[in-house]
Amino acid sequence: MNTASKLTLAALALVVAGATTAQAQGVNGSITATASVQAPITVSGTRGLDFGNVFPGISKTIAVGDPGAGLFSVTGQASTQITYAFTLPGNLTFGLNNLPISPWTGYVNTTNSTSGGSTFPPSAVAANATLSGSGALFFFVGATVSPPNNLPAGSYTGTVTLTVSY
Amino acid sequence: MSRGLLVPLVLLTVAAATLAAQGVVIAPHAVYIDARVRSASVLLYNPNPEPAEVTISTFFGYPVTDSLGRIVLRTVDRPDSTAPSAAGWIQAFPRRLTVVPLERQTIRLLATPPPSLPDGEYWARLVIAAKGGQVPITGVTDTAKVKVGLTLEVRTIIGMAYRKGAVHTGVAISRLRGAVVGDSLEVWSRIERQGNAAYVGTIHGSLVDSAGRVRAEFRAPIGVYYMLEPRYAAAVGALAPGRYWLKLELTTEREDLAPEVILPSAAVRDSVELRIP
Repeated sequence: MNTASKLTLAALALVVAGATTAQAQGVNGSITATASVQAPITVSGTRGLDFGNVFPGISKTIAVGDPGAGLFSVTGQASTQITYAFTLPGNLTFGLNNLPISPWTGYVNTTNSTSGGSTFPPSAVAANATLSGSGALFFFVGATVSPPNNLPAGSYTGTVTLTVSY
Repeated sequence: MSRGLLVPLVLLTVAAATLAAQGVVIAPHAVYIDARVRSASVLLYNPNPEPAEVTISTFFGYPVTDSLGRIVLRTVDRPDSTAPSAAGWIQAFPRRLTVVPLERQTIRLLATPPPSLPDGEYWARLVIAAKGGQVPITGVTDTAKVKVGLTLEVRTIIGMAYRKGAVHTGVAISRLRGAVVGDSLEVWSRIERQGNAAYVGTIHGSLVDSAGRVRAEFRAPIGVYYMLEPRYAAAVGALAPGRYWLKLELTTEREDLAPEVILPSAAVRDSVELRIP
């Protein structure tokens, strides 16, 4: 588990517990503090998939290793198997205008890197992965947009959803 | 400020500074509701600089294994009367909320089971969907341009169990087998739950040589609701030809869950001989 997660866990443990108890220990004024630790899970969309500017009639691809690739992270109990699935838009929209987006690419790794992991096709079909020995997992997502020649100018947006069953 | 308050605040601040993302921290990752109390809570914490819009829902499902031995969640949209589903009578309050940056919020879970509910354990899954602020779309400020960006949303599904009366659990291991494939030890087994409650524990497998040395091992959390036939793999170095023992052990030890929610059960072990030609 990374440092941030450990800190978050510790913070949650202390906050959630709320059951801190204190007992007088004789005349020296010392106390005993107790807290219940509750292990958290965190699934985060760490970085949005960003194509920047595109031009009508010219496709643009963001690969999983590109700076604009989407990034999800999962932290939880070490070595836990999880099930994951993606909900992906077929089009990005700007008002009533559609910008097709496909195909999608994915890369899953136990470290925040696109090296040493494995590729996968993001889809709504549930797949399986295992958190690292430190309780971490990272999903990188890329895609290709194909703007038609007559695509109106504007900001086209959509949502990528990662579902993690713990 | 008392030290008791200062420490968590400092930790929360540090955690927030290092976790800039869309999503919320959820604790605990498994919820157990005692029939005598009929309620529980889940804490959400938003470590991000943007508010998180959160929606809560429930459904019935439990882990199973697919043909490749992977553990997946089986979802049952309309559980029949024989299914131990609590999804229809555990409600979350609130079901829609906004968690502001660096703040926490508690979700209350209230159970209103049928009056004649028999003793046993009943299951549901809690879905926490979190959506953060819009991702800024980069590019020059030019209305003649097409700018493209996607927002990320996350849905986290955790287990819930409602326990009424006497509940007990255990497992039986059968069909233990293994093979060395390349640089991995692959282990298969059939693990069947005993008792009237899900078995929640830890699985530990090891490959031991004739001198008693452990040559490969794995350890992972496991939850057996009905039956699993999981496949596990562990890295293994070069093995000399000979006889080895593949050992598998399941215990109800879990460091990530509060001791009071663990249903203790005796350790279960099995082993088979593995010959490396």
